[in-house]
Amino acid sequence: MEIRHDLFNREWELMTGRIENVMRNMNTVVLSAIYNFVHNAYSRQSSNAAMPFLELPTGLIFAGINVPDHDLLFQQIAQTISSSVPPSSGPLEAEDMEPDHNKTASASSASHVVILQSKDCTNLKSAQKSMIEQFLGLGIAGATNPLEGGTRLQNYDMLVLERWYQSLCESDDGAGEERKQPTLVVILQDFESFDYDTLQDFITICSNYQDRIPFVLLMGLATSIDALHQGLPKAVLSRLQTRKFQMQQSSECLTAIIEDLFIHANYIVMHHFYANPLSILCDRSLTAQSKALDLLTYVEGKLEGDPQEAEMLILDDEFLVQQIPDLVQGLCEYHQNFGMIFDFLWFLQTRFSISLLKKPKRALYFMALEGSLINSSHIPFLQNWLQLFKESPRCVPKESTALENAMDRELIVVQSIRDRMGALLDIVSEDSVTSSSEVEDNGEEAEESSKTLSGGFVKKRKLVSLNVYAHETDGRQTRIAKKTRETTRIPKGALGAYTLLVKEIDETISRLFRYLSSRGPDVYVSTLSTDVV
Amino acid sequence: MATSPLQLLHEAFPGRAKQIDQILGFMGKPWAATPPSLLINGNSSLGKTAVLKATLSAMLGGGSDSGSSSTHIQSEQQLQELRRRLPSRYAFLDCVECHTPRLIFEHAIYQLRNPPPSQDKGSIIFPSTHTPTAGMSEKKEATTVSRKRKRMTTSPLDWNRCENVNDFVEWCRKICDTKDELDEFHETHGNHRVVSGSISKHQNETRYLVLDRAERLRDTAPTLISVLMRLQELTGRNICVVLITTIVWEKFRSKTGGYEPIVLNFPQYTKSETVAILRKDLPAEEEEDLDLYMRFVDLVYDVFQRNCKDLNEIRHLVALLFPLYIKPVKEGKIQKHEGLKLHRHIQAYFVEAMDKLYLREISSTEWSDRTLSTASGSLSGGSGSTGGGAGGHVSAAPGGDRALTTALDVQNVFDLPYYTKFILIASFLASYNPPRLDMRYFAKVSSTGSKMTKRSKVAAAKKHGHDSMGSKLRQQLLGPKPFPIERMLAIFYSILDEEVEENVNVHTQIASLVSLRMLQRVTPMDKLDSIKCKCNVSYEMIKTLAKSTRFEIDKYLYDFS
Repeated sequence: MEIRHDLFNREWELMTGRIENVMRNMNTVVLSAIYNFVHNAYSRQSSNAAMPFLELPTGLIFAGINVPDHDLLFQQIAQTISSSVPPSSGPLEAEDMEPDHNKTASASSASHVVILQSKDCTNLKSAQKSMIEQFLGLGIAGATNPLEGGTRLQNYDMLVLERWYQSLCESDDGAGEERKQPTLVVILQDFESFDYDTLQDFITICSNYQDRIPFVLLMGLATSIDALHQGLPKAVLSRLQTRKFQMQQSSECLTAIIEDLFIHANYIVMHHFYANPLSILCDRSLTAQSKALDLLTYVEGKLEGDPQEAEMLILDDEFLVQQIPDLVQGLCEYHQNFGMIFDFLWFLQTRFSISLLKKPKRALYFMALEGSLINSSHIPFLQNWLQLFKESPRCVPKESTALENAMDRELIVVQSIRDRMGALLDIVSEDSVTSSSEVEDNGEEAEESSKTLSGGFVKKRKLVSLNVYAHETDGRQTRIAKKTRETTRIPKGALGAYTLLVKEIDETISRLFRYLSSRGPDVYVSTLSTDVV
Repeated sequence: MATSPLQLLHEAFPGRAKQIDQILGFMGKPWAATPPSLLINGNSSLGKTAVLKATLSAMLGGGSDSGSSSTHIQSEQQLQELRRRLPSRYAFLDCVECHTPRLIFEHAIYQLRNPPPSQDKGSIIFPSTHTPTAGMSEKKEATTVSRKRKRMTTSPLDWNRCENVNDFVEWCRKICDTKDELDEFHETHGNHRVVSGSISKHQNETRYLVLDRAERLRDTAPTLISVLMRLQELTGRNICVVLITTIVWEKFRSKTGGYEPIVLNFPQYTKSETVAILRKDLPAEEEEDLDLYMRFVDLVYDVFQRNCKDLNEIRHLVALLFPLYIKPVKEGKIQKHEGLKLHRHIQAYFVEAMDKLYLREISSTEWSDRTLSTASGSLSGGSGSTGGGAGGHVSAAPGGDRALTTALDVQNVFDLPYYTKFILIASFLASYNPPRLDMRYFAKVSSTGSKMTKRSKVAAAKKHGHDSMGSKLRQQLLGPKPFPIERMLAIFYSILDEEVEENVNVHTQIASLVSLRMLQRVTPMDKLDSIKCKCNVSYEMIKTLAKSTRFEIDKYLYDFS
């Protein structure tokens, strides 16, 4: 059990790392925008000399309603800001900053960031205290801590911070006068939960000290800008120089995570393993024997499924060990295929302009997991649409012209070979682009012997990738490694060919779905576990 | 030296000459006895803080000159030097920052025992000063300079603990009694004894304790006010307390009649004074456009003064709108003298500014970004309105701006979980519909509504009389009413199409809505039963929410428009 637990922990860490990665990547653009904002907050101001008085640079971060995410998000932001290198996705700031500016920004010492949460800031005293303590705690080695000097300054006194900041600047002086002063960034994580009176005073104080300490405020708003206007009076508002940053919506976040974690990754495999006692097998160093007890209980439940094999498994550990890689392989394969089909489905869905059809990815995925996707009205609906295409090819150009641009863009991203079909559809119907298509014959296989259109694509695509894709399709449809492939060219521009294509697509799709329904994930998983046992 | 400090001050603060003279009059010679306390009041952003700060620093801080008494240049310089080096004669405290008595005491002592903060001349000459508050008066460029200078002069930390009034009084005595070179300087230069003849004891220079935003004192340390009023009496030293506040002295008075301060009121600026102040805001590089600028300032003042008397706001607007005003001139599209054309061109922006900028719906940077990015759009919009005639200019607001506005609106939309949306809608309904009508709107024929109907019947019976009396006033205008959570939940279940179990999730959602301040809890936190809430969301927002869930809110709202 301990081993399993350890394993679980290890894998879980990997997974959370992955999730965090996804979330981080999602926000890179915004993050780099915030980074620029913070780092240029004061240099920009000096250029904007026309303003009659100083305004406190304030970033409003609309972080979405999902408050539990915010911890991570704001830590991320803090991390980004305090690192002296701008976040990796660079094109944005390269445009924003002038070249010489860029240099100083990277040369300047990093900003110092603190995060204030409403729970730390029940009143003004505690808010200041928490801020100052955090800043001092962050202090770099060179800076002397004024609190250590044996003086009796109270720990919520802004003078402490001022002194600290001065000593910070002094320690920086050695590096050169030209260096930009580090800015102090205060992040108010959950603006809505703050006591507004406290906040007012806090902001007032910060802006009073602004001439001595360059503050930058970042406020996390879960709702809308109304909260800001409701919470702060005009006198305070007028001291803020706000700029808005929109974080990704949580639903998009979720979608991305699902996509990354479950569809494109094999983590689901792991997941299934952890769901049952066999997970120890993940660690190859262990023999199955050591956990025979676990196995036994498990096997008993499955005895009726395949008594003979089960018996064999119990008796013959060798056999079991042999079996497992195959099974895992099978599951992986299935999963890859599932991912591709899923992608295709999604792509198909986005292609239709009717909003009724649009379901978020997560909903689709949920359905797929439940196994109800196949039986739901969703797919027939899509099929009906395809039917429409088939029956009246003339209506397609109208549809597809609008979609073509979007699709061309998407094509690069979407990996499924089926998307290429869509591209082909467009291309053919447009009669404008030279297109080549590949029709694949895997007729040797009995169950799915019909002519399958595996993909069409624009010539510029590499043939290599084509082969790979074609191969994958084979894998998906027949799951048999040996294939014969035959490429035929379809004359461009022919309407007949077009109809043919549509027909083929339709067939393929329905076959795909049939395949899906016959081998839904649950089915597969259960077969796997039966097999294993 | 071409100008005396007094002249400089007068120049820096147009329309405040009288007040400056008054303050200087109260101060008298540096060592002269002063009134025990002074109260400066007036609306916000009338230059109270700035004037006082500048005056003090000019007279006592060694800012530029030491005063008019000395005729010898050399001794003058010497005096200045001393003032810069020696402990400050005044302490300037912000009562928002010093939110406990202890902080006030300690900051005051600290400031009085250390050299005055260096003031750059810039801060006196340029009135970046008429601010509602203390801190912003220094010019931005001065920031680094002053920081450097401070660094050089920073004395070793000597922070003194002072926790109560007794200690403070003791400290004040000590500080006032410390005789330093400055006092000796006065003595050696002779003109000392003549004035302070009435006090036999040797007397040092007057110390000033300035408390900005003193109205906050009433909350932080109500008893301290009367002490401060009598500080001179208590210490028996030459110390003067100055309170700066936006409210009248009557509101400070506690029950027992304390000392009354001398009240000095800063009146509202007149138009000519305002214009004179704004004149100073014109950036130096655009000096040649002075005529145009003045015309523009005039215009802005006329347009906005009805809504906004706040000088800072007007300055803000001028600073942001002037580049737009002058743009067509610079691009040669409109001649300088074509006032009417320019007027029309800018009017669209005025409307916009009134809407958005003044309310800070968009900030100054966003505004300037916009105006930069939509330069071409604005021009075409402007010229379009020029031809468009009288009504045209308002609607011909630049297209680019519109686009940006909508982009901002889109940003404001945020999504809630599906059921939470319904909870919010239900609480909005509960807040704005009278309970007696719940039956009419939400009762279902089926048995599912029975739970609700019972409750609402009771509630309706209770509230009926009250409602019929006040029914002439529409609830919409009265604002949200508190409602019991149970009623809201009943509505929630009735407006939902599907069956939802009442479980803890619903209550979690309510709690999270409260934490987002969309619902407001009316009952105190320690009361766990029969919680009442208010819905703290605008009609517009509810409407968009309802739209996103395809719920026809208007069908359920009573007497709403």
